[in-house]
Amino acid sequence: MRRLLFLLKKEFRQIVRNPFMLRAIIMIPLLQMLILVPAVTFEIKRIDLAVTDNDRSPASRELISKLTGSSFFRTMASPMNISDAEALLFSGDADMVLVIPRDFSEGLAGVTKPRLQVLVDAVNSTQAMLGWSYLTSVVRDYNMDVVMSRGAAPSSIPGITTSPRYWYNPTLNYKYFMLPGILVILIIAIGLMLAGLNLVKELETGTLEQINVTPVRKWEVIVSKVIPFFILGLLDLALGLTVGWIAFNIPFEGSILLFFACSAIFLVAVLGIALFFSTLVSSRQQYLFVAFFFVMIFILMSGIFTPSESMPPWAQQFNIVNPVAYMMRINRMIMLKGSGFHDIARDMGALTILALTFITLAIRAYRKRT
Amino acid sequence: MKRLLAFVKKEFLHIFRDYRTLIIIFGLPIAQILIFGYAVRTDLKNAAIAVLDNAGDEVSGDLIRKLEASDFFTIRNHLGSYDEIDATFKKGKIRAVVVFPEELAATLTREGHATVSIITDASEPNIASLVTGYTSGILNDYSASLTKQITSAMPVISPEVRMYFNPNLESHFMFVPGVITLILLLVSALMTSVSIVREKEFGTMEVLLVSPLKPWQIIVGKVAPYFFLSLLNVIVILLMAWFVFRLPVRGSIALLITECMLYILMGLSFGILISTLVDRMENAIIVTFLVLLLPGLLLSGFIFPVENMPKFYQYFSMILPPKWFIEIIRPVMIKGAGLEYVWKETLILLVMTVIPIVVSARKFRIRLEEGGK
Repeated sequence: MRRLLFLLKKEFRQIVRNPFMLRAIIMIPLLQMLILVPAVTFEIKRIDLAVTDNDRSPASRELISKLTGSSFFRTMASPMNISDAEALLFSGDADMVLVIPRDFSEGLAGVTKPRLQVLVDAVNSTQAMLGWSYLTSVVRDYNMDVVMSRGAAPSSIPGITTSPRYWYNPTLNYKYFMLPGILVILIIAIGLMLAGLNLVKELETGTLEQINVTPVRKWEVIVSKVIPFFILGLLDLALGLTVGWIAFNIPFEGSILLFFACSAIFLVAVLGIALFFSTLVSSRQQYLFVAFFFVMIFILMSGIFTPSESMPPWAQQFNIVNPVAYMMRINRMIMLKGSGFHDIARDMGALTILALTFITLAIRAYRKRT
Repeated sequence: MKRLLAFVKKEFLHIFRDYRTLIIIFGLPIAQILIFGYAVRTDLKNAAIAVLDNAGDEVSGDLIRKLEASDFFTIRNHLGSYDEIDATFKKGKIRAVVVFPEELAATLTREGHATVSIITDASEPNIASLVTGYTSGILNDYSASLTKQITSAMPVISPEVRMYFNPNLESHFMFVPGVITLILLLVSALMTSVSIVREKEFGTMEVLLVSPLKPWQIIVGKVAPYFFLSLLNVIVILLMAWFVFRLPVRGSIALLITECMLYILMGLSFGILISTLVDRMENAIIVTFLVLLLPGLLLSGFIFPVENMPKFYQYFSMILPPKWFIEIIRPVMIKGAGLEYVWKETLILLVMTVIPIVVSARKFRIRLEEGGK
């Protein structure tokens, strides 16, 4: 035990003595919180719309003013014909082009069927879908106005209106959504990057062999390497949470204790992965690539940015062994919805099993190697 | 020149001997393309929803069947009361609850309109707004079918849409150029900085410096292999994109490859700059990650469009080379744009390539003088 304490002291000293490491420990949560949280958003605020009005009638002008009236569309250039319009899409100057055909007002008068043509730049499919559905809803409103102005009483048109309510985040604030996710990435950064590199460094510079010939036991080496980063990781999490709370006023509905308990289990899983990877490689460069490769997959599949139920079945099955997916869910549930222990018990249990599995695997691999 | 060639050969051998790194260098883009093509989708399918049917009449029944029939939703739960909603959301599986008011059909015939509430779990706002959008779309269609029966004499405007460049609205059209951007940065900037700093850390840089090789030859020798590896990666990704997703390069391939080469050079020159600024491998790694890769992934428009960000971040993204590169290769690949559309971005990238080289050339000399003391 005394040996372990000495080792721990040595590790802590090495970390504190390395000014770069200290700076990284403070800067990583600050940068992540302040740079990534506000910037990362799927919210589409504005679509650049170009309108070609071939009709030039009061009816078409009214439709255009209805579109410009919405803050969602920013109308700009009015191309003369279809090929001009296509050029605007091509250069990216417009996201959508609305073409009002010459017979639009005749159509409204009942001579022909009133038509509209819409060209959409669909490289970004989400934006294209949203812009299109927004445009159709404005057109539908306009259509209603026309019908009503012809004397149809509002009540004679049966309609079901929808009233959307957004619980837990009524303003659809993306920061509330991203922050819990970025906190998960923060733990990964500390556990996998800083701790892992520290482990591989001893291996690469050959000092691990020196330690191995001392009376120090192997488990003591592992524990002394892992514990400092376990503590640092939780401290950094607290720092990140505080920054998020001060800067973005992020709500915290659930129990802080439960939150830290889950994060601690997750951190153990991450440290286990780091230790396991460190046994596969012989240099920090290799470690970095192996770690980056798997972290990338873990994070992208976890549902941090995108709905996980849209993924094909095999990808959802992969998430059964993906600790990041559990943690992402748990964090959002505790922080935003105030879910309690009973709500997350299953996820927490699965995470614990994963953490134990990774640690066991890592220790076995480590023993075999040295 | 012969010396330089021999040195480059040595560096190549170093890299090819390290098969683990090689596997990752080529495995990473392949895995990413597959993930972004198949697994990570920004659209919504099979979202689990619940209904709270206070009406229990034919209209609510019709609507529930319509919701059930759509690809977007699976109805998982029929709730008994409003109070169950919170508990349901807290379990985390259900994305939305559609609440039908009492006497929906009766209200509709008596007053002409009625309101259905869509309560979403907005802790994931993206999903919440998609679910709301799809649900109201289904309800509106139902409404419109009622309207049609009555106002057949009234005109109904029918807008037609044409989706350009990506008619099936696939999300990987957006992601493949992003994957190229990220992978090239990873291989060129990160690998370069780490491999140069490694020589410094182990003291072998001193050995190289006292060899007859000139400093610039050492640097060229160090970065040349990564240049070729990066280029090989571009080709692998483009072939994958074509064979797996039938995603074509619509523009000129020569232009695309040239732009990629410019971008790789940019990455290499940043890698060199970082290697002159730090002395330890893990520091080089952390700096490259924090300064280039993380912002490159999240602020460049790879996943999140830059124009949706707050103004400050839009300005900030202007100093990020990946942002400009994405703005070059996305139109070139997907839209088939020529140089006349992307020359400005190309010029910016060129400047961003030259600056780090100039700075590190000056830094490098200073280091040598210090070493001589």
